[in-house]
Order: sequence, then structure tokens, then C-alpha cells
Amino acid sequence: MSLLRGHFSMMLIVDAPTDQAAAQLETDLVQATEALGLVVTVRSIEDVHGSAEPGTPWMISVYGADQPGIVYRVTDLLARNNVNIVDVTTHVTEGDEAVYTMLIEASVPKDTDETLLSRSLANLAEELGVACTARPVDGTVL
Amino acid sequence: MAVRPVVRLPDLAIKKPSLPVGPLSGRHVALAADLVDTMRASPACVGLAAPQIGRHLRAFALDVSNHPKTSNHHGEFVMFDPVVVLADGEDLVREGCMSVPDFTGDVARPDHVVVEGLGLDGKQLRIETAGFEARALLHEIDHLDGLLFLDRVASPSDVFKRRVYR
Repeated sequence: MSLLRGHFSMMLIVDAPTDQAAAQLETDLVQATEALGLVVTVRSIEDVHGSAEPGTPWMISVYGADQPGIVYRVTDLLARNNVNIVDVTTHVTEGDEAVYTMLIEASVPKDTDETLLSRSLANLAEELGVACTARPVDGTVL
Repeated sequence: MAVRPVVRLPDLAIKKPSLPVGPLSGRHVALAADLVDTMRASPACVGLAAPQIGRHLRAFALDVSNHPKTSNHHGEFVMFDPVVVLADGEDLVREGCMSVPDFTGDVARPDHVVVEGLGLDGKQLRIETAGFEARALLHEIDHLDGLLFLDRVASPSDVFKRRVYR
């Protein structure tokens, strides 16, 4: 669930008993939420299994002056490096000097040149005029 | 000695690493006074690093004595060119920062430290501490390396936007 500048969005993964039930669900939801003026879509998805090879968990913090393109440029760089985004949270403050914060939990493939990845992120951050810290985090589960 | 404006995000000057001070001179004494005055100007502020007032020198002021979470403490002090010589243990605590006014974050840090540097008298100052004062010390030393608590959180769910109640 997310609330960004007064706009709300929510994404759910549900188990519907049949494909027909899924189609009916969209119709029912659209009808039920008409008064709220929401956009509602329901799509069936493939049951996706996680990648066979677990990567190294990294934490990536990006923050600075709010501007268009931060999410796109950073996630595009990560995608091109086969880095899987496990979780992402963004915040933006209000006012003339809005601060944008993007926090990414990533899974970096084991064969990645980590120095090169760090440098690419640093260069991108400089180009965008934002701060970026990217580091492996301890994935130990107790 | 004066209350100086505090550098805050989105101004990225706060990310620039600070330079060693070396032997102290009159201007470092003046810097110390500015750090203490600026720290005192905000009741919730328990520490302030030089880069937070736009001076990229390795210096900070600290005073956790009035904070409810404080156990042991060393009162008010200013330290130059700090070096962490020992850090062990760990605790996870929610931190705030004058330079990141809209957010707080849960940060894991060592909870017992020994830090050495120069005191205001120009002599070696050695502080061994634990708990909240240890955390505050490490938070300020991070500032000298251009690091904010946002760079230290371990997961996206560890950052919280402050609610402003109108």
C-alpha cells in the first residue's frame, strides 16, 4: 500500500478458486468501488518461483532533492546488472525543498563485480544530484 | 560564538567528508563555541557535528546528560579528530537527526565504544562509554564521514516519515 501526494495505491496477490472467479472479482470490485473513483484491475498471474541461485543481500539508500526519474534511472541500472529488487520503499516530503528517499533491499547475483556495481551507482547518483549508499548487509537469520 | 543555521537535506553538503583539524587554534575554539550554541538552541538536540553547520572539519559537540534514554554519560564535551579505537556489542535504536528533520530510522550500532581525539584544551581526550551516549558518539562521527542514519539502515522498513500533526 502506498500514499503518494494524496494518491493511494494498493497491490494484492490473492488466490481465487477459478479463473472465472477472477474475472468476476474484477467486475465486483469495480462496481463496489465506483463511488470512491478508483482504478481497479484484476489479472491472473503465473506462479513465479524465486530464482534458483540466492544472491548477496544489499541495502541501497538513495535520497536527495525530489525530481522525476530517480526511480526509473536507479531501477534501470539495477535491472541491467541483473540485480533483483526484493523490497523498495519510497518517501517524499512536502514543500519547496522536498526530500525524496528510496530504500531498496536488493539481491545481487553472486558473480557480480561488486566494485563496478558500486561505482556505477555512485556515478549515477552524481549525475542525478542525489546521494546513494549501497552496501552488502548481513543476511544472517537467527 | 553563535547559533548557526543547520544544513539539512536536500542540501547534499551534509554528505561531504570532513578534514582533520590537527593542532588546535583560536578558530577551532570558536567553532566549538558555535557547535555548543547551535546544539543548545534546539532542546531535542544532543549532538552536533561541524559539517552540520557547514564547516567540514572533524569536530563535534555532544551532551546527552538530559536525555531520558541516557545511562552513563560525560556531560557536555567537544572533540576534534575522533578515532573509534574500540566498538563492540550491538543495539537497535530509532534515531533522528537535525539534518534529516522529516525522518527517523532504526539503526544497529555497537553499544560500547572507546573514542580518542583532542579536547578543547588541545590535549588527548579518551571517552569510554556505552548505551545512548555511545550511539550519539557514533552518529556524530558518521557525520564527519558524510554518513547519515539513512545510510546505515538495514532494510527499507527501518525508515519512518515523521508525522506532522496540524
